[in-house]
Amino acid sequence: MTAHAHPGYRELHRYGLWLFIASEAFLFAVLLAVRFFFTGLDRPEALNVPLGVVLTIILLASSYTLHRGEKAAEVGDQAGLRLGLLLTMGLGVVFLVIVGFEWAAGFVEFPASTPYGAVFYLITGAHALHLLSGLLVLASLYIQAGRGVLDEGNRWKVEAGALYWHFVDVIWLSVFTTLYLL
Amino acid sequence: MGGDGRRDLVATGVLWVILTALGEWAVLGTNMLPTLASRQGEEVDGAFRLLMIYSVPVMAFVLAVLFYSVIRWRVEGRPEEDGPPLADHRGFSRTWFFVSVGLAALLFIHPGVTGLLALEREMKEEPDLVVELTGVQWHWDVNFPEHGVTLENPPELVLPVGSTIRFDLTSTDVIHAFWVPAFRLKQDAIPGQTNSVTITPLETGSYEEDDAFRLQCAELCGTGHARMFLPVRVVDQAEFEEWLAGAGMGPMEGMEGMDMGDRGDGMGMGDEGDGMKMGDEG
Amino acid sequence: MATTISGTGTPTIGSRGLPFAFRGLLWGAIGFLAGALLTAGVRVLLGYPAFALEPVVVIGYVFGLSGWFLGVGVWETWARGWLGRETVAYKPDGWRRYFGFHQDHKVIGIQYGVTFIALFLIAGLLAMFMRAELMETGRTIFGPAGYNRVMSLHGLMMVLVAVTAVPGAFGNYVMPLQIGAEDMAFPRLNALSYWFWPPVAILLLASQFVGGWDTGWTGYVPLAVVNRPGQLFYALAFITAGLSSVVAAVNFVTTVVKMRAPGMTWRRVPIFTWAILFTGILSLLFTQAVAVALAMTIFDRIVGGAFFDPVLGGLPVLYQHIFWFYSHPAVYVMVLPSLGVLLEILPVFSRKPLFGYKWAVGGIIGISALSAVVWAHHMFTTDIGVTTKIGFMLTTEAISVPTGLVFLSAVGTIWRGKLWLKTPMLFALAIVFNFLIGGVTGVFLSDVPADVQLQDTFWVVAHFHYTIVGAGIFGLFAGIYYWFPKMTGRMLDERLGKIHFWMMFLGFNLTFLPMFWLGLNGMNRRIADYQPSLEGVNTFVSLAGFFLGASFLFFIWNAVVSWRRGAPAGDNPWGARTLEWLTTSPPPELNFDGEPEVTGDPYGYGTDGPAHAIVRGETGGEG
Ligand SMILES: [Cu+2]
Ligand SMILES: [Cu+2]
Repeated sequence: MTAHAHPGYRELHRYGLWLFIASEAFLFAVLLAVRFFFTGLDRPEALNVPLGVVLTIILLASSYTLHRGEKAAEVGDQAGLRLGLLLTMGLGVVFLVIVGFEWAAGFVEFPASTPYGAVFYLITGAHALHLLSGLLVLASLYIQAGRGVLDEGNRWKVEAGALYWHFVDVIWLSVFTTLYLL
Repeated sequence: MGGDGRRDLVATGVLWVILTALGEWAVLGTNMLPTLASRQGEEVDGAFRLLMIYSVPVMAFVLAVLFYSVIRWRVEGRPEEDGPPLADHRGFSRTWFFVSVGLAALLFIHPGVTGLLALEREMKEEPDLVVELTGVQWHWDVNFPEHGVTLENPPELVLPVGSTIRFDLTSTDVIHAFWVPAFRLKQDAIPGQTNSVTITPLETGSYEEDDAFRLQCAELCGTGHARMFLPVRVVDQAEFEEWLAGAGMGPMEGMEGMDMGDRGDGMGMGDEGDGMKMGDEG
Repeated sequence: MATTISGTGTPTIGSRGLPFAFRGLLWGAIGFLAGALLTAGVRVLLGYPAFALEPVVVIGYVFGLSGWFLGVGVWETWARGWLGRETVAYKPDGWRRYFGFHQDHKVIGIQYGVTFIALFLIAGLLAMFMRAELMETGRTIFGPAGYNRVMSLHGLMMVLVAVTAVPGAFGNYVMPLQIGAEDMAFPRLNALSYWFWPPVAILLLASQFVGGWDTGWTGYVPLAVVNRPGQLFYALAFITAGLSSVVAAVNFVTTVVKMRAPGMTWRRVPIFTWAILFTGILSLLFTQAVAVALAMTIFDRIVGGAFFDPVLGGLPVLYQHIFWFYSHPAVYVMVLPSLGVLLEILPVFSRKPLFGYKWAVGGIIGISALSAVVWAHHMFTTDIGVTTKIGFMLTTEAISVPTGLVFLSAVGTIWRGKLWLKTPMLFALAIVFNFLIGGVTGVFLSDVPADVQLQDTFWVVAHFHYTIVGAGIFGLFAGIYYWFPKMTGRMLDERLGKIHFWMMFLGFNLTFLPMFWLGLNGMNRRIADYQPSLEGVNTFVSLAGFFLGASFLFFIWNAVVSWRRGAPAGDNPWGARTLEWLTTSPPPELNFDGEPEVTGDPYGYGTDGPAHAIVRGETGGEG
């Protein structure tokens, strides 16, 4: 058995997660570039911008509730962590449901067989998939918190889940700007 | 150490010169290119030959060091001792770096940019004749808009020597590419857009005599891609006009049975059956 | 599932019963069916007919992939933790360790190595069939439709082999040893990256049952949208491979940056590890682009999207931009690791320091940086505008400068060395020769006036085989001959190795050198048939190709026999200085019997400087 001088578990994992986030950011950078290359600055009239604003507010709120949960976990408040996770997941689900309704309306106005429609569904779809995977991560954290295993030694798991969720939110901000505002 | 080092340098230098001389002799003395039959192609061949001339001394240098080192310094069995601790040589490394930068810059300017600009000028030249070519899986449709002649999957494409011809390329299905090896220039035929390429044939010739005279599809387009080529015949103006007049009136005599399938040139490949289902979905 | 308690008291699994890989297949099949049924159900609810092949395959595959991972061992070793339960270790002995979710980088390196040699041989066999078709004009064995399918499968498989084999096998096995680490930074991610590959192989196999696909490995649209369903499997396989690359890249980069032994400053990092680091950075960032291009293809196929259909306002050329934005960096992912192997081997067998270490590292960095901005050199005939052409011609020709630095380091290292021409060294020298030809012929393609004649001809085929096989695959074999003793504890047979080398080297050059001539003389690529005037040279190329193919029989024989009965290798058969040679062959579970500390230059042959590294708490660690 040797004790190599390598960095702590948390530092190592944080570094790895940031690399993964960089890679994912590249994915969305390419997707957003497609929007400009493909459809220029054209945007259909039927696009429901107020609904986009609502979606943005929901996700920002979810980042806040998760942040509260994380803060609670830092002082060992498991119930606070679980509440924060639950609220965040709830907001995430509401977000996905609204996106579903928006798609259903959009299929009529700008179907996937129009250039903007193709871009819109591909990008919001890619984002929704990331949000869905974030929900799975939060659900896992919720279960683990319920079993009381997210103690001091497992604090990284909460940090990682939160970091990923915030990243997905930031991505939404750029998606929203690109698809709804420009 | 320094003494025999110098002798090795001289010997490698001599080897380099010999290899370079042999290489340049081979490059200048042999023609690796097929028949050239267009004015624009001269730019292409000039660039190619120049790059060959440039690359010989570069390759010869690396090969000279490689061959000389292996012959001079190979050791039978496990080396008893280490070689000299030569971890870097500032002068040599810097020279190498700046020479390679210089070479890259040289190549970029000439034949790169100069050739490209010359070609672009040629492409903008006012044409004497416009030919619209449409790639279709797996043949070419030809249209002479100025003459009102449209040929669907013709058996050959006849062009007048000496006139500047602009080809307007497009496709109805997937990406194809225009390439007549004797004319050199390649350009993609992409659905939804029209790309142009301007060519002035300088030599008469025909596919029957030289297969560089063919309009070959050069972008993978499905099962029939390999044989998606149209024989080209470059003739004098009078003969061209005669052909055009005949072609405009309908199928020409003696041309029946000359469709792509059995041109009788060893290219009959049969076997369409299991590839023809493309595009039957949504 | 056999849960036993091993001698040390750690709960472990996998030491008896059916290997986990089989359970993975079963769970994967169950997942696929569940996904397929779910899709059918949703379709019925939305008022569509229940069955449609492509949507069912896509959703079924996502579920199947999850089932596969859980079955192969993710469930016990990892996923139970997501539910707050105890996880156990997968640590069976003997051959079983290779058939489940084992997390030791040495096991994973061997899994990668064997898998990708197998894929290489299969894809090489496909090339033999291609050359058989091209022996003569006209139909020889399978005609154009069959040829295009085989050519496409050969292309994609070989690309995946070239992208993965060297980093997968040696990046995993050797790199952590070279930096004195116990393992990779994320052993579970490491296992995950490997176990993506069997699904890729299954998809490629399955694609052949729905007609295969015939767009080559590039999958250009619109052909890839209107094509047979096999194209969907192509896209899914490629995306899956890309996921594996990203996961592996996170691991490589983190490991090199964070896990180096004490004393290993950046100036003491072995050159192979440098190459793996930058390979990782390239895969990490650019792989996402190809996923986008392929997702757009799938989107257009399944929901009739407008991306690539000009009738709907689509832009086929957009695909090429995105595709090559990944795929040009990818060619450096294929070549950089092998250049790392090359520069790792040359000092050892020249008994001299690596010449111009800093220049070589600079070359690797320069190649990586420039590779991001050269993609449109694949598109000079798509009408991209003069300025764009000039820009991409400039960046592409500029890349010859950092590439030249690798040559500087190579020729400087052998100069006045004591050249010990063992098989690894022969392969390394061959890389210099081949890559020289590959590099110089690439300059012709970067030059727009020459490229408009050469593009999409056999000149291109010859050029990229000279780089990707001539450097990439020769590097794979150089690495195998060099590190096989470390990985197995046994030497490969030198005589068989030399037969393999000379047959491969001659066969390779006799096959691909004439292809330059073919390209110049009007043979375009990806064709099942050609003009009669090219028949003689093609027949020659085919015969040379068969000779090249035969060379691998000697390799297989050598590897199989030597693995079991080869001469014992000892710790450091080549007298090398880097850390992987300062431990036993094969290394113990945690790699070193002591604590490695880096004290000097990795290539200080002939100098009086300190050893590269010492392993504390152990005797006789120095070579
Ligand atoms: Cu075509
Ligand atoms: Cu490229």
